Amino acid sequence: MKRLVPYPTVAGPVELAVVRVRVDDWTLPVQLVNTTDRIVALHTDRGTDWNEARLTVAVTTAPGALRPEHHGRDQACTAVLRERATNSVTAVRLHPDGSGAWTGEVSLDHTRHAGRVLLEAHLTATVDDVAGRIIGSTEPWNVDLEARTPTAVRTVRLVQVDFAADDRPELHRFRADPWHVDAWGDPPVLYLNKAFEGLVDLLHADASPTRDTVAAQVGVDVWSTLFLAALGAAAESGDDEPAVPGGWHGTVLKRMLPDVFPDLSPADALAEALKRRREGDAGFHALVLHAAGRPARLNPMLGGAIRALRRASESGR
Amino acid sequence: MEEADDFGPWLGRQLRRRSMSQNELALTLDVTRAAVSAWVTGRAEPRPDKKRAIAAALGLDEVAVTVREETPTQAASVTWYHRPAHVDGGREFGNPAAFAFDADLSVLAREATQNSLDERLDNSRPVRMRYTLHQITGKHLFRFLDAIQWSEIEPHVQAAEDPKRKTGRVIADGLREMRENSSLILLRIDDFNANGLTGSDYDDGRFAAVVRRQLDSSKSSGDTAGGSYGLGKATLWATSRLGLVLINSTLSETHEGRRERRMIGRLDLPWHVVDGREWAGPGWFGEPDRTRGDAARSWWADTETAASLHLDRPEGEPGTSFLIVGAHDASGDAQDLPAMRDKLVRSLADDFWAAMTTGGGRPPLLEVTVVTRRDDEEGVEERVDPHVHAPVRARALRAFLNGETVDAITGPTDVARLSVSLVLPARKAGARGDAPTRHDAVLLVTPCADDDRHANHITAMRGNRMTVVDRRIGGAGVNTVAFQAVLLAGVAAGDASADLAAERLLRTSEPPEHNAWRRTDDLTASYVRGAATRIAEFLKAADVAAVTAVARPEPGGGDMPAPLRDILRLDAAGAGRTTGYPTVKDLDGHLQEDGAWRIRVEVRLPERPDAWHLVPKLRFAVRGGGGLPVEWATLVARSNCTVEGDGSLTFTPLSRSAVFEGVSDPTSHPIEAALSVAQVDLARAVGGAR
Repeated sequence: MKRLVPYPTVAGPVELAVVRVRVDDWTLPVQLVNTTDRIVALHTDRGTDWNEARLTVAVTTAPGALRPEHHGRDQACTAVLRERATNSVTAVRLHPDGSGAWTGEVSLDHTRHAGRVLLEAHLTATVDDVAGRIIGSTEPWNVDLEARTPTAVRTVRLVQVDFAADDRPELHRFRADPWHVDAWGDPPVLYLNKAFEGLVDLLHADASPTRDTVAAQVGVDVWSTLFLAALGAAAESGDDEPAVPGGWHGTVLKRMLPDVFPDLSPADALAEALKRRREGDAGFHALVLHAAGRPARLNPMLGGAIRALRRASESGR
Repeated sequence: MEEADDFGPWLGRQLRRRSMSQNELALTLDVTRAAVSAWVTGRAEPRPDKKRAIAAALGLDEVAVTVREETPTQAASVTWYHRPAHVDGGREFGNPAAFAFDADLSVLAREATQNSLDERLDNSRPVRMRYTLHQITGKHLFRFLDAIQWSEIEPHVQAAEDPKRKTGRVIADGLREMRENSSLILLRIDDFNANGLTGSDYDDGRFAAVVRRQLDSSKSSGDTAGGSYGLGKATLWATSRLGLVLINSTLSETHEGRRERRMIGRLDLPWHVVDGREWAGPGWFGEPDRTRGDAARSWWADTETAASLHLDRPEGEPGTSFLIVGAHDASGDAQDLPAMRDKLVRSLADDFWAAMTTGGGRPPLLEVTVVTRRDDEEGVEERVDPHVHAPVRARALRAFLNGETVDAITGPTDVARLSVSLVLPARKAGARGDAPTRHDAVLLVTPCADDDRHANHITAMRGNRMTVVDRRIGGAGVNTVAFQAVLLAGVAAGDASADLAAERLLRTSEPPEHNAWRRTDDLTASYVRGAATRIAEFLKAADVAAVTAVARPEPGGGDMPAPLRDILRLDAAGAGRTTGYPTVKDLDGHLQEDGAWRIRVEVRLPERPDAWHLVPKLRFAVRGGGGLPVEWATLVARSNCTVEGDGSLTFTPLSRSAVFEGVSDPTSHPIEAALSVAQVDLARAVGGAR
């Protein structure tokens, strides 16, 4: 979103680099630090039993981007760790290294974090006699405690389990169901019921019309559930002009709202969706199912399955 | 100072200049022919009285004979010799070797530098090279043309102009450029701490290899060097639009008792006719050799002649200077001096960054500078610095030379050292039971920036550290850190017998351009079946090892059923879809004196026949929310829209963009505007303004 500030800011991008990551007493391999997509993956083969991750960071601006006449006073740079789920914020002052960059070490306390932690940095200065103005910010990094690899691809977590198992009391009431979507956590989870005879084997088998039809059906359930959950998260903000939330909720809304209300901006579409939900519009659920069909790949999967079945029956005749 | 000339070579030269045979001298002095032969070959030296007699016979004074004081060959006695056409009527329209290479500056730089590297004299010091691009105009040009006796070759060059043939066209362009602009580009290539063009004028040796032979890949430096002065020397002549190259060499070992300023010129033209006479094409600039029908041979020049030919060299530093007259970049990429300089520097850096890299307390193998000058201005000499032009790879190699490599990469400048095996195939001839069977090459891998020109490239080389292979590794980059890899094979990895054997194998597998390791005729002839396969396996193993060193772990959920994999991806972008609603494309604004925001808004509109009807909403942003609403004091349409009475905007149907301007109402500001962050959104207009 484009914004205007009433004072001069830094020209050009402000970049944050994660130079090195120490996890307790060892150094994270560089493969687990993705500088392109700005992701650090902390779930390594050494397990999750660590106490502290220390990230050495460096913040740079384009040469000449800082204008002494505007930004000469009280320049400072602060790195911030922020996690939505735990609502924890850690700010660390970085120090000029003499070559135009600010460097420092940001400590991430394992006990205070759960999943995806955002790391960003802000440059501040006294501008027009107002102290501590942000004159530049970096794009955020994701420090992901659960990721095994630092790739941008986020996916619904899949858990294949017996819904009647003793250690899964929360699933007992769904024990007769083939699958169950839990859209509460981050990431959301799709449970497949191992006790539902043939289901897991079918999905793992080679392509067949039945398998693809089932997969598409799972997909529609997953995406319509995620959409409604995301809509709920947006409604919780309580604002009369609700903003699109962050995290996977925002991702799902931005992806599906254009199919629910094609000619509305996301903000308008969100407001409209919340209004319809509130009013209990009977047609609204149909719109959601319609929009869920695209990410679930319903049309190609079902279409392919039907053609395959028809061919099979014609050749069998 | 020039060292004292041995008597024998001196006498031989005097006889040759006078076209006097040993027999004639023997008759004049009344001695046997064997005695004269013994003097000339240096097996015996005449007594003083005989020396006086020799002086008389040669028409010299006594002192000249005793101290063998001799002015070098007079410039006046140096002349052009053009090879007559074959009597059988055969015609050659260019140097066949030149057609084997793309004659552009990067190929020239590669071939010339490689030759110098392979001719290194003192292995404890680098070969020093200097490339000088020198544009001469006006009187400087005419003075130079006089020195090379241009009037003597001009008819030949002109006769070789031929718009229908490749070489003839290039010559025509070169002549036109020189005449119309009165300007000529000389490219001088010097090497120091190199062997120089030693050996006889005609028999096997470095001199003959460069000046006399074609398609003769003389392998002069034993097992570890490539064939220096092989086919690649043709690129020197191919770089000259006029086919003209002059040479001055300081020899590392005496020839005819001398070392300094051995000079010759060679003109490589296609077959042509001058004044009704047919000429084969090539010509030489030198001292007429009476024993070979006045063919031109090299001469020992004085310093003035060398300077007038733009080929003066410091004394006592063996090596060779080539002067390419009318230099051009045949690819047409580099047309002027700065562009030619840049292309030279870039290709020198790409091909020889490793040879120029220092580490482990040892000097580099090679140092190169590039100079551009115009007429008599001095020009600036610029060193080709591998740490500037190939910083990532030079860093990797330096870490290896300094013993600073690591096992696992944990930082952006770490260099991992890995080992890649090459199974050594047996040689067909001279196979020995104790021959090494495996070579362990060194593979260096280090991270680089994603947008690096050489990201995910592997560069491979052997002992002379010239880039043989430089290519992108297919399959890298999908789930790897951006990296660069350097494969040090053969003697570049070490000096054990297996390293030497690998060096020999890999050199045998290089084509004349030395730019690949693959099946060659030489390889098939020298090694048992399967040698090319072993090399291919080796290169593949290096690729795999490099990628593995920087590969990220596979994403979790390996047991995800295939049909669910795409369905469960959360952020498989709906991106790329064009938006179906109007968006703010650009915001521009400032605070007015009265504390109000003045903002210009550019809107991108999806094209549609119905007018978009929207409300522009101004807000002061707050962290983690939708912002605080602010009222407009005024709204003015600038293009493709109209402002309605209720403060909404109606956009012109079918337009794709629109602009309006607004000023905020300070009385509606929830905070002082000077402390605000303003944002503008477009909302649906529903039943009038809010």
